[in-house]
Amino acid sequence: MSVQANASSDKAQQILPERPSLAAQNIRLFMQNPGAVAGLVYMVVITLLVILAPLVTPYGFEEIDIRAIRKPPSADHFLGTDNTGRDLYTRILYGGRVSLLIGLSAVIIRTAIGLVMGAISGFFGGAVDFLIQRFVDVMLTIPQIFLLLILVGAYGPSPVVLLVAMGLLGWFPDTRIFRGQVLSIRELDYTLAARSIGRTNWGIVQRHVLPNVMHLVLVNMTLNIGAIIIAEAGLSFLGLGVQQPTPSWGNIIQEANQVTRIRQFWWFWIPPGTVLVLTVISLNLIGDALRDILDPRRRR
Amino acid sequence: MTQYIIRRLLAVFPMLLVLTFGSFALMRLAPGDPTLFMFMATDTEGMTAQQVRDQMGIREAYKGRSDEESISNTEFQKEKLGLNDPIPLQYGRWLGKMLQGDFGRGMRTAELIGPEMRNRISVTVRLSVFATLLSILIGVFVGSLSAIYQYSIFDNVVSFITYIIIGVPGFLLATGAILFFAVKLGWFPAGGLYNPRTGGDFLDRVYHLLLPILVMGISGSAGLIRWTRTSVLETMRTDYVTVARAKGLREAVVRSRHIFRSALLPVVTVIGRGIPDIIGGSAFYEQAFNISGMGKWTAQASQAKDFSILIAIIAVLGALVILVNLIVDLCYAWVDPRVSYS
Repeated sequence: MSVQANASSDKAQQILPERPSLAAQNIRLFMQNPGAVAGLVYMVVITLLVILAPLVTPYGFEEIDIRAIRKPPSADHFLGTDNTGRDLYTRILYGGRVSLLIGLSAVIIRTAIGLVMGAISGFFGGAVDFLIQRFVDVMLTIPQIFLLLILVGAYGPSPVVLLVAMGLLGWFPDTRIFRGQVLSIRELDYTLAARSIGRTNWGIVQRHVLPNVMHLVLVNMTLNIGAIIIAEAGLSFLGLGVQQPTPSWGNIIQEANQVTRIRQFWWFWIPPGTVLVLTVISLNLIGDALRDILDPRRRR
Repeated sequence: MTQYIIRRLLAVFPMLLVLTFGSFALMRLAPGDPTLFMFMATDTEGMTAQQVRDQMGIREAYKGRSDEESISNTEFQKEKLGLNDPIPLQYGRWLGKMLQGDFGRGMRTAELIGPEMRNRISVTVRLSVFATLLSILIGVFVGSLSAIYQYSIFDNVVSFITYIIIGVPGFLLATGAILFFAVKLGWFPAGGLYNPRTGGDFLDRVYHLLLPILVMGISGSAGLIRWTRTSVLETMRTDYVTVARAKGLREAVVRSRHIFRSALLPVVTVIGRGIPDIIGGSAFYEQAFNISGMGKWTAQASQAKDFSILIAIIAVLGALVILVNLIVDLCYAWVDPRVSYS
């Protein structure tokens, strides 16, 4: 049978002009979107800078320069120094490590749980589906930030607690999206065909369901990293984010957040704020472009 | 229709039960015995926080004394407050008290939660409601204009601005607004609910809420603008709009009767779904503008690890959101003729 299929596809290739692969087409579409490309370039640059932080700055993130406290940008400290004389450029880079790492790991946790729950719920339906969805219903009624505050309050605001809490509390909306997609795939003819040739449920999930949810997973993850970075910054603002002296974009901005400081020392908060906002916008640009490209219904 | 309403009402009760039972279970599992403080509002009526603390034997009150003494006192109080009764009975009793607005006392402060809850929730609700109304107003108006004049300069500028606003965290926007409009220009007070020197009459309170509402409303409108724009654009492409135009109806009629009527329906759902986020988001504005609402309270209670306050907040807010969602759903059914009631 596979021989036959190969033969017929060979024939098709002879008749039709050669077409680029789907991946190549998608990459081309992505490159045609200037916003998305700009976002990607920004993310690559910031990620490299953050990973290479020890190489691109001469200071340590806890290093205090007593002679240069609250100094504006200069040749030595080119984004200035903070309230205790620490180099802000260094802190923003190291803070990026924490913020991006929290964003990425929390997104992996929440997507994994969301995907498993959504797949179970959508594929098996019935009582399991009912229970999971009603639970999600209830959890979605409680503002997420309040739940986060409680968990972080109970276990202390360390980066690990933050990322686990955001992972465990974030999957409720995701699971809805995945469930919907799984439900619609379950009803398709090829699922029926797979069942009729005796594939097991797990086999169907592996071969047919998961590959068809992957585009949603990718888009969701991209968009949610930004949301989580904002959430961490918000928690810092409420005093329950990553704690000093470990820097995060949230707590660097929070350090500046006193009327006297924020008025006089613009370099305390404008650079970290800009980096954070640009990161979120870049991720949104990339995510939106991916959604447009990968969702077949949105193609013109 | 009546049947639909009854069905929705029936669906709400299990949710409320799960929510409250979940909160109750959390309370019983939370560290530091917050349970002791949930049944004691009535027996300790009129007592000061300090007296309650002494009587209840909060950990701090027993510092330096033997463990045995503290534990036996806790056991005695548990028996007295009925915490050794079967769980369903306790839950029922707790629910009954909650419904009467009695939430016990904070486990760290020993203050009554009920009166504080009433003050704070009215502040947060006021802030959220007005900000949401502003968001809807801006979102629907600007979003529709953007869609009608798709790819015009106006549309492009709006798309650009909304994209940026969506990327800016609310607290940063609030801080920027305070810095510019309150500190630099002096148009608005920098924070608080009223002028503490004059005590604050009605106008003064409105004046203090203006900037928070403006910032929160504008921040929230960005998402709505995008939703409205997409929805209107999609409706404009439908066949019945083409038919309406082909019939020779005036453009104004086509827009008001055929486009907006159906385009704005999904926006109602978006608003309904966004309510928890609006209430959650208000926490940042409360913090930035120094307004004592639910969000700021939660942050404080969380830092103090005051679980009895936190759990009361979760139960109340969850119930509030469930009820508001019910109202939104019913409105939706009432507005949208396509919702089937069977």
